[in-house]
Amino acid sequence: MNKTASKSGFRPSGVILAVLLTIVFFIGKTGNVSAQDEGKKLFEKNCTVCHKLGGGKLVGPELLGVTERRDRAWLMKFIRNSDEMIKSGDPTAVKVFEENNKIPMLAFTQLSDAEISSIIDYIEKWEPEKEKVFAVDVTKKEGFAHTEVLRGERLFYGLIPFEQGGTTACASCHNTTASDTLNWNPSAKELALSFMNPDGMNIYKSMSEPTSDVMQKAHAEYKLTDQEVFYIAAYLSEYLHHGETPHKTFPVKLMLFIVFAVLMTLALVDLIFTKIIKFKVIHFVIILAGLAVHLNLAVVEAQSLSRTKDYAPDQPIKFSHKVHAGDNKTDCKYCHSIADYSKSAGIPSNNVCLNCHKVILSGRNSGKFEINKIHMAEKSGKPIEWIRIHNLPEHVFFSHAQHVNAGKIECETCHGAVAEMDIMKQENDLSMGWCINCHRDTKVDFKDNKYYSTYLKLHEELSSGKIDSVTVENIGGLDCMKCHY
Amino acid sequence: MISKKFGSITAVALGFLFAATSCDRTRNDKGYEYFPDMAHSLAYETYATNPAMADSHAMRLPAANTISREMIPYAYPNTPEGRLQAAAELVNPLEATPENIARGKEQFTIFCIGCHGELGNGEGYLFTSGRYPIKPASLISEKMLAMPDGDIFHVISAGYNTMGAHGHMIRPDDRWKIAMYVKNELQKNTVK
Repeated sequence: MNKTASKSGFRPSGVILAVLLTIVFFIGKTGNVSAQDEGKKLFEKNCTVCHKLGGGKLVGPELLGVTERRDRAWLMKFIRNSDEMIKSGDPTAVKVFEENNKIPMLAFTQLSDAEISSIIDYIEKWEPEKEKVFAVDVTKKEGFAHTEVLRGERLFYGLIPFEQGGTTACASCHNTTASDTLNWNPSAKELALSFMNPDGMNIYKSMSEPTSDVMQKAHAEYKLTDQEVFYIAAYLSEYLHHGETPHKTFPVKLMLFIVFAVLMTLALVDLIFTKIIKFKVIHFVIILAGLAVHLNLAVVEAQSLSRTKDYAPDQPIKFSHKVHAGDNKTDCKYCHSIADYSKSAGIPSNNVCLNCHKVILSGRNSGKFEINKIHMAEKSGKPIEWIRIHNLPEHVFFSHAQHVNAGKIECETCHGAVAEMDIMKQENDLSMGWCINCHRDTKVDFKDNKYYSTYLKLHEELSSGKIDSVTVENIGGLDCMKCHY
Repeated sequence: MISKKFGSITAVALGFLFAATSCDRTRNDKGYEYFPDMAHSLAYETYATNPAMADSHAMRLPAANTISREMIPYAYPNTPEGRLQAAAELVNPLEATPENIARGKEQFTIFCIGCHGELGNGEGYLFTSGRYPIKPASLISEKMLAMPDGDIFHVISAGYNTMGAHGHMIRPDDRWKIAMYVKNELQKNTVK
């Protein structure tokens, strides 16, 4: 027994020592710092949605100096359940309620007395952030020395370990080559862009205090020294100049083409000159199969010319339709609100995003990095340049109004299961054959939809039983000039 | 014997070919075009960039001191006073017909239900699922029961507190219809 224990390195005395050390370590850390930390955490989690500390009124009043204005016991009671206090007629509570547009503050009955007290402590002791002194030049954004860039690159790729721990290389989350799947973490390129932007991230600050829960979790074990961050900053600055390596896929089709071309050549050579294989059927089978493969490739490739089926480009913000339309159950038309009366379905303006994101500042998957882009665009007035995915040639007319409003076609009919797409892609090839097929098969709602009430002859035929349904084709959906004029 | 083997190999190869529908291009690649002579618009498309403009927007705002045709500027600001004034002055121009209320319900389901909930009690999915932290206002509270249609119209148009303005997303008629739906359906069917 003992032998196995010592073999696996499991020594009781070692464990006891480790436990003791941990306890000592924690005792050393608790006290003032951790109480203040807990208060800060609770404050950020529960209060910052409506209140600011030293930043003026948000939804609720400014909290700086609130501990001087109000008595501590009163604050405790108010935080616990303000509604009760107002109803019981506490004069100060009623006054506060009326001063703030009569918006009730949420009750925090789930917090213990100690927790509320730690929040109040945090508010009481809060001071505007002191300028942290860095060992390096934190304002430097360009003109790094070559050795600094190289050192940063090695740190970024994990070739040199960080001094204070952190095992995984930066590059394994912040991809340096374009990714073919959705990576919620900002790529190296985005980090670099944000770093170079004067209003963008302050890499020194965000490395020492992660901005969101997502980042907090991901960065928990990283405690980079100022010098290390400086090197990484140097690398990011350089990275923008040579840019992102494009993603490459294995050319399956090209390989097939070459393999069969070689096989066919060999078969031909053997058939005419070398004659190693005696059964000529084999040669013919190979050549026929090769021709079939080549023909198939040619047809498929030719058909996909000018059609961008499956096109799913990287957008300026990692906006996920799956999160918004799927998980959040937001109606398509909430954001694309002009789809039912306009040619274009409409790209939502910043205001539409901000209806929710004024309050929701941190995403479940991407933290604050992506949502912050909306706020930056709003501040700078520079529009977000979304990339258009569904393009029709100039000689085709298509109107969303006709299809969504008059035809009552569901969005998913043409755009596919958008509510399951993290990266929006073009589901259908938008070819003329695809349009025509749908116009041939789709039955028009002639009974209830008043839009079609002017088709008198068709209505007569329908009521006399001559025809049992009306397709888009019957009302001129296949006429050339309907779409081409 | 050999020919059978080769036959099966070709069958496998063909099967592989049809199975391998994956494209050689990455998702960021649009592929090739074949004589796109008439495919690209010479005129600037909606949302496209226009290099002739200083800000490169193809879509322009109306010239200063003008408004678009049929557009009625909304005069009431997003303040408690503006709300009171709008509620007192604005009168619903539409009649509460079943069609109008049905349309109101349709629009309510698109624009309001996420926060204010199916019953209008402020328990929308975004709040109950914990995705939106602030409790949305109940539309069937005592305070709202006492308010006229114009009040709801104003809050939709200009917003209130954390709720943003939805006037640019919903046309005026539809806003009135939503107000009617709230007044005539949600508030009347509330169990008290």
